[in-house]
Amino acid sequence: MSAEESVQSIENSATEVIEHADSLSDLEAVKVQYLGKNGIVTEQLKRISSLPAEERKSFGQAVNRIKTQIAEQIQARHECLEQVALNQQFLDQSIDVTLPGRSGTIGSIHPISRTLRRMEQIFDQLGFNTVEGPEIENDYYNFEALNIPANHPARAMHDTFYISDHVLLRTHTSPVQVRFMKEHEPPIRIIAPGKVFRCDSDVTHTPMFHQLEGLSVDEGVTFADLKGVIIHFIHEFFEAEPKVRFRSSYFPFTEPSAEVDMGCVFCGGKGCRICRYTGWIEVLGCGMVHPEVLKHGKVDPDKYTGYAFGLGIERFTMLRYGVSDLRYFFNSELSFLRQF
Amino acid sequence: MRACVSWLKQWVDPGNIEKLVEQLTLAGLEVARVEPAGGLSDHANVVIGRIISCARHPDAERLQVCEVDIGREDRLSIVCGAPNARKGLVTACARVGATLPNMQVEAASIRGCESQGMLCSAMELGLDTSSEGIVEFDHDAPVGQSVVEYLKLSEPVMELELTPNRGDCLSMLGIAREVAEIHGLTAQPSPVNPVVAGIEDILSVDLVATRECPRYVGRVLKGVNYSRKTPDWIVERLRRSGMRSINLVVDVTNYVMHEIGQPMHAFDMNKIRGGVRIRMATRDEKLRLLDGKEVRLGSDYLVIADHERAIALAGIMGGADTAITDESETIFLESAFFSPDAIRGKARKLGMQTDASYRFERGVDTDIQIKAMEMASDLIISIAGGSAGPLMDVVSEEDLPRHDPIMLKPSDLERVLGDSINPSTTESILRNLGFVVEQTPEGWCTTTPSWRFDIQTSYDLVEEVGRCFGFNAIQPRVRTFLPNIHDREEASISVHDVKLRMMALGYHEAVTYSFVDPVVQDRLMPGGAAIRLKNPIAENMSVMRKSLWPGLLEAVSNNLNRQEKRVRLFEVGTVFEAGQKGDEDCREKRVLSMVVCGSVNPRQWAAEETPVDFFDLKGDLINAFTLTRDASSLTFKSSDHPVFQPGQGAEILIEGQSIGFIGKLHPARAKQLGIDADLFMLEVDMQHFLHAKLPQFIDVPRFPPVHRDLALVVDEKVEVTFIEDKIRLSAGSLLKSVILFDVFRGRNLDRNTKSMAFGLTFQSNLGNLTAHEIDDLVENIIQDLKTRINVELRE
Repeated sequence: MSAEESVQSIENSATEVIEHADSLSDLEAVKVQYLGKNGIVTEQLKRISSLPAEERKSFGQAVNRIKTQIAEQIQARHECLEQVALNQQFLDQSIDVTLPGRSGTIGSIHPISRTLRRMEQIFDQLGFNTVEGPEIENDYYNFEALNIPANHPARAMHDTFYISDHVLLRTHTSPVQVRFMKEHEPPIRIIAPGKVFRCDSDVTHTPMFHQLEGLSVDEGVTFADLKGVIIHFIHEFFEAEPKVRFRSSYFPFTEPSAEVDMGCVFCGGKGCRICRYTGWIEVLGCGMVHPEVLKHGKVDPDKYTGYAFGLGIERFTMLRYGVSDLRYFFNSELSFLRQF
Repeated sequence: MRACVSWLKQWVDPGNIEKLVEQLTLAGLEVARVEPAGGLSDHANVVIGRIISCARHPDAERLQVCEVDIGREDRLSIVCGAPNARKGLVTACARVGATLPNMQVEAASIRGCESQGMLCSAMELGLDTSSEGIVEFDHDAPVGQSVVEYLKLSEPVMELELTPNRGDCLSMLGIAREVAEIHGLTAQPSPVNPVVAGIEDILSVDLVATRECPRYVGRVLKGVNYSRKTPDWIVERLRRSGMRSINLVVDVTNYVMHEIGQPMHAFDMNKIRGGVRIRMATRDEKLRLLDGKEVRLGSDYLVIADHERAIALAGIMGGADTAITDESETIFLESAFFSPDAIRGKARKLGMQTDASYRFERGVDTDIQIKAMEMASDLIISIAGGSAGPLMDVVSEEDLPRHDPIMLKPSDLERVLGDSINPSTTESILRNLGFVVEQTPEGWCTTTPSWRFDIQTSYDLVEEVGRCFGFNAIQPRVRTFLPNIHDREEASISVHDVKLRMMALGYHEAVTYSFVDPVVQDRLMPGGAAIRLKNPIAENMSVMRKSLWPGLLEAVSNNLNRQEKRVRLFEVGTVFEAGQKGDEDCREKRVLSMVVCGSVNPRQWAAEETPVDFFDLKGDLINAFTLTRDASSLTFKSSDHPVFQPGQGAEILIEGQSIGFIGKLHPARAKQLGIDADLFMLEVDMQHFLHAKLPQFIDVPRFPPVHRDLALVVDEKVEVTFIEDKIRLSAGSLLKSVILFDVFRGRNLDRNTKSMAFGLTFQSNLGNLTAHEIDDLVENIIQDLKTRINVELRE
């Protein structure tokens, strides 16, 4: 066998061994076997110097050629095996992407807070600021300043919790009207949300509930403005345009007074259980601020007029989200709270 | 107030009922419902029958077999158990096949006797909720006629919900006035037939309290036949108005009250000693009322007295001693005007309300007393005979409510309503309502009718015109306002922002009652008086909360009972504190409260179910407080607050000022509250949450940080903040952060010691720090610590 042939046979056998190396370590062994310090190819290179001069060149070229080729083959095989190993690693590390994510739980905001927040935002756009008043009130602000003197039949409509003869839990948010007017000059545009209390407890009454009071006092404020604001508010809040009607009513602190009904959002006015088959749902009370109340607020009734309104936050929440029973709001059941 | 529509026809044609209901409702007389006058609807099979004969049932002592004429050739044989079934009685007869409101009448054999129907009681006919015996109709009621037709049971009755200012609508006449106005008409009062005095009997009337009772009209009636039954038409009209028939005299006075609004009273005149005197009660004066109740009065109560004692509580209820009975020979009828101020609140103070007090409180027409007296005496005498004495009218003109003319200008209407209303419309509205209207150059000079007590100023007239014109006819207007500029500081944090953070931390917002159980509150927060309600709804809701904990812990307990294991709740609300000066001086404060029990994480595949502890809650608080960008200002000081388990409670402070408490609920309290879990809770004053520090840029460091760990073994009692503070102090400004990353006890450590591992980060803005510099700093820290506490470096 000529030198050329033996070199070729080294290459052939190397190619076969490389192709059969199944792992990177096998391949490494092959590399050592052929290209290592005492490897087969290295041995051939060492032989060059012992060859006759005329053979050296061609033999040397042949050995160097196969050395390069074997190194390339090993490199190619190496890359291939690495890819296989990586693929295996990825396979081993693959996950069930449908497993739940790892996290704590998210809590919730009470539906009354949610509704209140929305109402504040709607009125904010109309230029109403949110203010607050005390929950423990005195007789003056809760009744007298609102034109409800002692023994007035309207007091019978407020089942008042008393702390002493003249100190009580406010029965409505209306006391904030006079408190605010006393401290501020018109123009006044406020809403005053908060807790109110009445000693009444049954399926449709809880002894504590939430109201939102609105007050606007300025020169030239009229019932037409009141209507505009209320209709806008109802349409915004329900994100619908139910019919709205103003029905004459009576509150000692407004004159004229009106109650506001909107077309039932559940049956579209055809009549259902929610609207007691009337097609209408009563949603709030309102009116023009009584001149006596303006006087109590140190506002000149000859110069200024104002309107006021009061609404039940629970009622709006129930209508908006379909809550069927008022009492859910206050018994803190997680199965209720989680829904909001 | 119930209003029978056909009764209104006496004054005005009500027109289409459905439309009327809407119009009345819009005009302020809310019609809650309309229903037929009776629950009976079977026209054909329930008819008027006359009992021809009654025979004892052969086999049953209490039953009778009645032969009943129902206007047909063949008579019915009906077994009846009613004690009042008797020969000649005209009653309601339900034939076989009849449908009664609550039953079906079928042919039956009762103890061997066949019954071809049933004689009915008022209850069985759906006319009353209870009744004794079968119904008794007038003797001349048309036998054979359908009961539904005879009593007109299918005609509509409206139920009105009247507001307290409309006392004038508490009668058929009052409602008729409103109906007339709606139709553009005026209700014409029905004529009165004055009764000619047939006897001369009078009674002395001494009007002492003229301010409280400006007018007292009285009349003596004699020879009235009390056995006369109240005619069916009156009984039915009363029933439609929600009243039961009692006896003729009472029925007639009630009838007059419902028709024209004047409450009346009838005394047994022979029991009145001397004469009547209308005066204020004396202090502690006693009076036994018609309902048997004895009341003790004060000098602010108006009474009708005779010359010896009080005999009636004016405008509220008559006395028992002078009540009329079947034996009364002479009656004294009263028709008075009592001032609303004299009656208001009085009945309620005695825990009662009567039809009379309800009306007098709201105001009765000042000009109707004589008319009422004539109507009542005419009705009684025409039904039950007897004769009337002369009409006695004692009046103090100057004390009668006066209606001064009120000026109404067209501009008043526009100023309030924002819409102009045609002057002729305004005028006709007011006239139809009974106002006298005179045109003057300035506007309308109006005089208020005697029945209206709610009209004092031009604003009241604007309301009248507005409501009758219709608020719905006013064009709504949305004005553009000047921009509403108010302070919205960048640094302010809204309560809603805090709530959103709580939600992100996994807490559910609760809203609990502001009044709580005093026993629970005292257990949780002993000492310090709570504000007590005078009239709580229940004892367990009788004191104002000093903390949100009582409400929240009850909520936790309820949720645990509902199989919830992991409960996280928060509430933002007002708490109350009694002031120094008593009830007038209550303080309110808004606080945030959080409660948590169960595992840190919800049950899941990828995390351990570790139970929560103090530090989870503390971490959540710090996290929430980070909204202020100043969480490092919060400090915690061990506290022995009794609500907490000893050793696991702390006071929360900002710059040395206490703002709340955090800790583990004492197991004994937990047990009392039915909480079978380790529960951690906190409460902080909300005001500290609402203001944030604004970001303030400092130069971003260019040179790399150097980290060193330091493990120190110290006495168990040494608090971590103490060491941290000292480390910071010793290290100076090159130390950028100290993080406690491990706390370790036991193994080769002495008892009562612990190892704490801190990660220190050093960094300079001026250049790279050398290992040598850092070694010096750390050595300095250790030496400084050693001078203050017993500390060992752990390798």
